[in-house]
Amino acid sequence: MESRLSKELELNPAEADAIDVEFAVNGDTLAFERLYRRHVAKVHSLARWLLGREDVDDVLQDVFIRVWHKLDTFRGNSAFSTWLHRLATNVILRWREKLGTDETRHSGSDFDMQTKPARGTDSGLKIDIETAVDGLPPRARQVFVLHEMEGYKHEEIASMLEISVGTSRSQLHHARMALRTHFVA
Amino acid sequence: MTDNWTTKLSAYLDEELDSVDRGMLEAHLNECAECRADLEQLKGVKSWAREFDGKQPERDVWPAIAGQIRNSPRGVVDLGTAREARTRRRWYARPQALAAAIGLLVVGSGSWWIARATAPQDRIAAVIDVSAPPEGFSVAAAINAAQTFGPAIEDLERLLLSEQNALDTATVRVLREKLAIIDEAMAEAREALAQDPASGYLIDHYTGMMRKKLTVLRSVARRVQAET
Repeated sequence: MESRLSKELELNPAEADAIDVEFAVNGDTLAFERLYRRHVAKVHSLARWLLGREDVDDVLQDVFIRVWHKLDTFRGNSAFSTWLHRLATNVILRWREKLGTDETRHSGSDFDMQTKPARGTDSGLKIDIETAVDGLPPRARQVFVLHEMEGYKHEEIASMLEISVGTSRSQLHHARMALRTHFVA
Repeated sequence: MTDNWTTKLSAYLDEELDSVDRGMLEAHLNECAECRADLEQLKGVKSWAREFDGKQPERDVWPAIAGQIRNSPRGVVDLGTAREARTRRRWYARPQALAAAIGLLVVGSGSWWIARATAPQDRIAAVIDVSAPPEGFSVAAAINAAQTFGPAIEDLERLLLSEQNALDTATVRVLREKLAIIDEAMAEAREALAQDPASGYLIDHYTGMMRKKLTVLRSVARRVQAET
């Protein structure tokens, strides 16, 4: 039904979000499910990469239940996806404190990951890079995800991860350099 | 390529270098193919990250979420409760939602119209020929817009109602729900304007919604006209 509505009624994702937020905030769980389905993939990746673990089901549940309860605080001043990701990042970082991180598996400057240039189809490239992001040292992966995917500034990342701004910059650079071999110049 | 230059590439990509360093790096890039290739690759990484659309979880956690939110204070939608809640929300609190909802009304009806109906030529012509509300807003423009486009919207709503059996029930239900919200929002908009006719903010939104309606209506009508 979601794809049918979006396609036939020519709504772009932001418009579809805006309408579904309006319904969900009034208790419409079907509208909330549509929001969930539109955004769960990115929130899932965010959780997986910030926490460095595959099993993030509990975290996803926590994020979306909090979204449900806080939906009436969304004022529409930004895109719903922006608001959602800010909230999700905060929730995930709290889980990070609770669960601990996988940083003990790596040293801070451990960039010995194997990187192979991707070849073949776009989907193959996508999977290859995702795997490469999985393999980044935790700190570099976290900084990379927060900066490149979530749009946080180094100052914000430094505060979130309790690192220096300089460390945030250098970790981002290392992450990019480790991933760059997947892109043919 | 040297590490000295390589370490500056990320900062260059993020436009964080000062003018001196930027100039020196750009001069180096003109001479160093290896660094140019690195920079292109880094741009590829940045671009991929920006466009990455995520990976679906292997297990669908929606049933667990649904189970919890159905027991929450907000709970399953109850039309009476929802209606009461909606009236507490100001119609202009989410202009984007409102504009999108109105777009949904018009485009939704129009899509159905194209698919199911042979619209009379005079009705189509009437929709196409009406004048757009002026860009500069005024109370008169807002009232004029409502009077001009109201009948066209009603036409589309009647057509939708008469042919709703041809649509799947889920789509009809969603459309009905959204139409109810739109009706309330439109009524609130008119009330708000009646109480505060000098509010540029209200008038701007009202005429803006009307312009959106007109744009979509014209688009739909032209397509219908082309097919009939």
